Amino acid sequence: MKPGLAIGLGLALVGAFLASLTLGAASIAPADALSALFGAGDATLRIIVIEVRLPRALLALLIGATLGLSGAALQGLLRNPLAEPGLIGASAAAALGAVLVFYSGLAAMFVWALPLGGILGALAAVGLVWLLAGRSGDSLSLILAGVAVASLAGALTALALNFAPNPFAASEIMFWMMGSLADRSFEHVWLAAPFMAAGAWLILRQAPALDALTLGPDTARTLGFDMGRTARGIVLGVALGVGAATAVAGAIGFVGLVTPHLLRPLVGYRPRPLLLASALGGAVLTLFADIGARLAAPAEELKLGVLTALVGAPFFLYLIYSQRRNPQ
Amino acid sequence: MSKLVFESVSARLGRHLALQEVSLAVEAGSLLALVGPNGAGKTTALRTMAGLVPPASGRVLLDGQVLGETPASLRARRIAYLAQDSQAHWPITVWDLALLGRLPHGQRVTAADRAIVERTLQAHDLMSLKDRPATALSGGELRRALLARALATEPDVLLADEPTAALDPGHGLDVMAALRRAAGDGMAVVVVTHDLGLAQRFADRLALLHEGRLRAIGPAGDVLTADNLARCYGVRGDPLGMLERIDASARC
Repeated sequence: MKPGLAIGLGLALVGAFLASLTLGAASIAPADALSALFGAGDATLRIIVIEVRLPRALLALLIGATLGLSGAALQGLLRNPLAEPGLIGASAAAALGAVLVFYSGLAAMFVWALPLGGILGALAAVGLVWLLAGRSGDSLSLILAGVAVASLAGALTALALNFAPNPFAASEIMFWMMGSLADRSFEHVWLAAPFMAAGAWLILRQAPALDALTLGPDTARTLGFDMGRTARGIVLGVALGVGAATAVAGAIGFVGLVTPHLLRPLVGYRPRPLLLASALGGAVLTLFADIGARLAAPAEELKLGVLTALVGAPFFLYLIYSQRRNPQ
Repeated sequence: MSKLVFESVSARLGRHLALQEVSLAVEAGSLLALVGPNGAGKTTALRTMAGLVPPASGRVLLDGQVLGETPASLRARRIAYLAQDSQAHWPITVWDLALLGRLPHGQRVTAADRAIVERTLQAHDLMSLKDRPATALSGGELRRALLARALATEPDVLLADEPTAALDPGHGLDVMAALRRAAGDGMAVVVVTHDLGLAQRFADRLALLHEGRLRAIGPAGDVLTADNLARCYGVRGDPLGMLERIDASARC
């Protein structure tokens, strides 16, 4: 990544993070938010900033970075600018995992049951995709298997909603389908972060192979890269990261699709520098989207997943339109 | 001196035995043209040389070492492969495209890598296009850029699958001349081609494949006999209508 872009994205991230600490139902001046962050100032402010907004901002940052990184990695792996983390079924299956845990009553037994259900769901989806697509990592098989698994997970989630025992259960299930960062705590941060870090590590290890894949899988293999290993690393990394993200915040769409697309021209279209740029950009976008969700309807908070879909879907349409006019 | 050897190699394409007991050797500093009709097994032979297809039986040796037992990273430094339908999937610049050829030598781009890429691009008259997106190149320019990528690896063996396909006769001659120069620099070069005129003109030896078997190998005169042309290609007459590249000043 060029130094200018890294500095620009870094500054945008710091700005978005500070804005996330200061903006909301109670507006807090940046200086007060900073002093509260370091344990000084008014006690109520400290509670709002440290207990409520800080974990929320950290989660938005981590989830956005995970989605941006995962989207860039999948688009590079599949050599398709329309790929996104939902494509391999990880987010749909994570939502299903969480819903099943809730539905079966396990959620009431221990606090980690819901998020763990999400992560297990994502891992099960990857296992199934692997089984369907085979070991080769061929991109068409991966896409088809991912679409099949995502559809199945979506259908099963709808089935659970259909037979929800009571309205409370139905609304809880809806939460996983819409995605939100409201009322998240540090427990959610600590639960998701290790899985996201492991996922990012798996993905970043494959970064040079993504550059080589620019010339197709055969050339990448003759440049010394094992394409099966590359596909496995990226798919598992995406499942861990996106599974953890969905497990703590529900399904948040379009960040993984849009972010790499916005930043690709700024890194000279190379898949490798796009990974980190997209992680930073995804974090910035998600932080701002979460602030928007808070401010748009303060009384009855707009769900983050709804907002990203409302903004992201028209962008997706624009993408298809411009691709049709300008095929690469 | 490097040497790529096929010892009675058979290879499968799915269930079909596309290559049957082929034995041949390519010496460093020489250019071998693999010729033969469609479906003869030329591409499978080249992909087997590149390590993309494991031999079903027989051995592929690089300097006496079994190719399949050579670590992938070492193989990538020694053998460069130019696929038939190679293209850039993202609009990266010609410079970044050629730089991909240095990936087998390490994942950090060094000053030495940049110097080699610059030299290669200059040698192929591509420096003026270095900032052009690879997806905005003409067919001939893209072929040259992809060849520069393969040469930037500085391999011992260069394998090119139909590098002149879809090129006009002038650009075809340019690409073959570049491959000839690579052989002159000491590489073992193998080219799959349907252009028998170019093969005869630029290759030291031709290997004629037909239905997966090696029918003849040697100098063009010994391989492209009327009998072989009739049996393998089903044609007669002189297939070698030769073209010469003329000076730029005399072109229209």
